[in-house]
Amino acid sequence: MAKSILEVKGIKLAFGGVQAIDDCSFHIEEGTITALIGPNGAGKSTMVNVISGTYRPDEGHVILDGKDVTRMPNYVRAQHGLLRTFQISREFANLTVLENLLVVRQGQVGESLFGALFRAKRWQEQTKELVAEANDILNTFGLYRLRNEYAGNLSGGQKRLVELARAVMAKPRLLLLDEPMAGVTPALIERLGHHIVELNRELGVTFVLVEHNLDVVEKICSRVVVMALGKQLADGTLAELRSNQAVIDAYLGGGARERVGS
Amino acid sequence: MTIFLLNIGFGLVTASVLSLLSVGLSLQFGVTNFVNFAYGSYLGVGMMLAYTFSATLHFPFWAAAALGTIFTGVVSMVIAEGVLEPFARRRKSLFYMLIVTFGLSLVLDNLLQIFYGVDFFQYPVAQSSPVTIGPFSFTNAQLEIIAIAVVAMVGVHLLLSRTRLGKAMRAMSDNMDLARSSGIDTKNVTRWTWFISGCLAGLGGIVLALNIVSFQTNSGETLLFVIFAAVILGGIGQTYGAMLGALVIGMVTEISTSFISSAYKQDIAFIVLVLMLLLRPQGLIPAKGKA
Amino acid sequence: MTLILGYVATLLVTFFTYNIFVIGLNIQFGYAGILNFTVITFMAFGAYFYAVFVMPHADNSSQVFYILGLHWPWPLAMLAGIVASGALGYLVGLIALKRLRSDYLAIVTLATGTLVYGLFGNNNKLFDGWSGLFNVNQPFQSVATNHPNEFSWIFVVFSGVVMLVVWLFANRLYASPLGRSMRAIREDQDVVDSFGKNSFKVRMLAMVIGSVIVGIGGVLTIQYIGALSPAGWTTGETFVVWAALLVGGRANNLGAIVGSLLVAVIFNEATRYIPQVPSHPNLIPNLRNVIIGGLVILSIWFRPQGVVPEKKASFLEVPLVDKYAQGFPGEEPGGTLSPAASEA
Ligand SMILES: Nc1ncnc2c1ncn2[C@@H]1O[C@H](COP(=O)(O)OP(=O)(O)OP(=O)(O)O)[C@@H](O)[C@H]1O
Ligand SMILES: [Mg+2]
Repeated sequence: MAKSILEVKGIKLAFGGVQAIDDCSFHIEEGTITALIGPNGAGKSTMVNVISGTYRPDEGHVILDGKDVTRMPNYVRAQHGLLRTFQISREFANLTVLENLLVVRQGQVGESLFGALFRAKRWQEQTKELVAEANDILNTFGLYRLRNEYAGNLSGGQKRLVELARAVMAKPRLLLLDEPMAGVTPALIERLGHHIVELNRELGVTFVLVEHNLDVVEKICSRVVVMALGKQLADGTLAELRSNQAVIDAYLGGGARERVGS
Repeated sequence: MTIFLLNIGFGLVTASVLSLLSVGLSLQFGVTNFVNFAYGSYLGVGMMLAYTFSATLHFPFWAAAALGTIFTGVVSMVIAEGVLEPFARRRKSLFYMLIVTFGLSLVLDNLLQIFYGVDFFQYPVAQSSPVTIGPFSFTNAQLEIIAIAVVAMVGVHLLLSRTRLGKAMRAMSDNMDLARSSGIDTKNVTRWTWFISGCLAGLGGIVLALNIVSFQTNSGETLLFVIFAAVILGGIGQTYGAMLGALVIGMVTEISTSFISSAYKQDIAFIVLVLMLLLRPQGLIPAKGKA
Repeated sequence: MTLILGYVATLLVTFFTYNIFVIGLNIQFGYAGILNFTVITFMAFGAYFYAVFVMPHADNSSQVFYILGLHWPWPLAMLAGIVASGALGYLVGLIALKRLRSDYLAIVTLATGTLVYGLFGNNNKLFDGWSGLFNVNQPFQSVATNHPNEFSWIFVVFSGVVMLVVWLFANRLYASPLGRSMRAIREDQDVVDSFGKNSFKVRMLAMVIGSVIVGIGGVLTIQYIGALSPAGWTTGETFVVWAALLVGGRANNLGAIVGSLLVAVIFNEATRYIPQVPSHPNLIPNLRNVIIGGLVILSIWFRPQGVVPEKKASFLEVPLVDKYAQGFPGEEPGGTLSPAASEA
């Protein structure tokens, strides 16, 4: 069995009276694409926030590479390669699309005050390289022509793409995507799915994908974790889950069944 | 010991003044979700209007105070309708809202000085000699201040718990989107909130002036961050928290004068503010989703 | 002629020092989104600390009291003033730059300003209370002895050079990856954090750099005038800096220069010569403040980007073959991709 890159154990988190996550545990294997699905309000986004360190859980542990990171601030986790996107696009509105990408690359020479002032040659060179790299990524996401637009002026769908392109630029090892396909045209959904698979195969990026679109899940995810009412309900392949009565009742049942098309 | 007890009495008076002011600021913050940096100027408006009504137009003082209070509410409402809400509707970022209210404070403070100058004023009310109640000693004015604050706090409580307006204000404070989608006329409630907030600021300014006896147009200005301290202490946007915050700040600042010079009263409030921000920024009574 | 030359020199020095203040605030607000509502307190810190380091021990028989009085050479004293102002920025940052709403930071700066003002004014043992410090040692006195304007013009050159250095520094910072991080934090601090940057540290850097620069302006101010009292650093003065930044254009140092020319020099000077109204000695300054406050509000309403808006970043780049320029060809198996994907 492949080694777990991420493990969450017994996470609990309440907002006021709402128990958003209620004793939830699962693990993610390195090099896989795992879907995290569940009905609205199941606690998926909250879980992404707990894993990435935006929220601190009331109870439980987040374990990254076998190390307990529950008390580690989010930016340190990100330095270990754990990155995430947001369910609602949060682009840097008054930066250009290209700058949105440039800013997230870690370890640039000009990021320290000393480097910014006294090693200008070095960071200018580095920036040139990063621009080329960023343009490549933008090109793959069909954003190249928009690279010098302010990100705030893009359409909703384009912002989703910037969100994803930015995460790619940051060179993640483990990338949590919170509904990356929401508000994106069907044609593009296919493209994005393709890129995710490509990044996974070629660079070995591990993905956790929060997604409502089960077609996408079926196509690109090898394993699915189901959450409902803040708990981990089941996990397995989508085919296995289709015959799981609990999952059908909680999630696949009702209107959702049509969407699955089974 | 007696000085200490006396100071507890003064603490009660200061807390009364502050409670009006911090509740007014907190109510408005809860509903509109931005801090009004011009709030300190509203104190001056109330205090000076009451002076004009009582000293220049010879109204009985209670009537002058009532008129000053209500007119400040109107001023607050007009400014909100004319300046602040248009900005908010344009979805200016929080940054700009804060700068705008900060700019307003400069405009208002200086307008007040243009009308009233830099002289010291006194309300035409008789200065009584202090009465002794147990270990405490109060002037009549101070007793009235405490009474006014208690009545106003009960009034705010009734407003929030019994009236439709108050319930709507609380709903908007808790969750704006939910409130809007459940059919609350948010525009109207916001307007009334500004009015009430202004009234409390005006009344607070008037009782502040009564307490310090001799005042200038800008006597309330430096109080602004003490009010903030009380509001943050209570949990920003939490009305009952603001009352508690006012009590704590009022008591702490006055009691501190038993040990150190009263010139440093405000510094004590600042220290409380800093400790609060460092240790418990969400306030004593945290609000959901704020801070 | 002498008079006019002296006046022009003063105008230029005012222009240069205000540029410095506005650039300092620009780094805090324009770059990093930090609301500093008491810019002028940092100016006072720089000025006062320069003064007490450069002046000789206080002569108590003259009823003037101040701390230190170390009689350091002026360049060292200048450094001390700048450090003091940067240290104040650091302290304020420690309290308010934790992950709190921007209201809190604004409140803390405002509170700090009120407090320092009261402390320095009421306490005449610190910096001589409300009467303030005067006869502060000026630089270049040994060189400029012949003519009253000589000092002024030497100082024009000096402050001009300092301003130029500050300007070059600010522009390099803006273009650097650090500056880009600051601007990203201005847009969304949480996101910057979630990409592995310690946004607290970066914001603190912007806070301290801004304070240091404003402090430099403060030192220049007191060096030129030789005196400063609390009446010279009221809230209204903070607004002049804010108005200059907002009118000129935030996040653009050219805007900072245009703004300080329009607001701090032209507007301030034009109103200086309006005759006083005897019955209302404060009428003119009051009106000036009303206009400055109004200017801040109106410029946010009508032209939030300022006269000289923030420049769009552009990069020298090797042109890329844009394979999707004509929409997305169906290069993927089974994919029917249409140009609708980038609904611009
Ligand atoms: N910051 C918050 N404050 C209060 N309650 C919250 C907060 N964030 C989430 N919740 C509540 O926690 C529960 C889980 O929310 P979460 O956003 O994690 O669900 P989700 O599975 O991502 O749903 P969706 O599919 O709609 O995105 C919901 O009931 C939600 O209302
Ligand atoms: Mg979600």
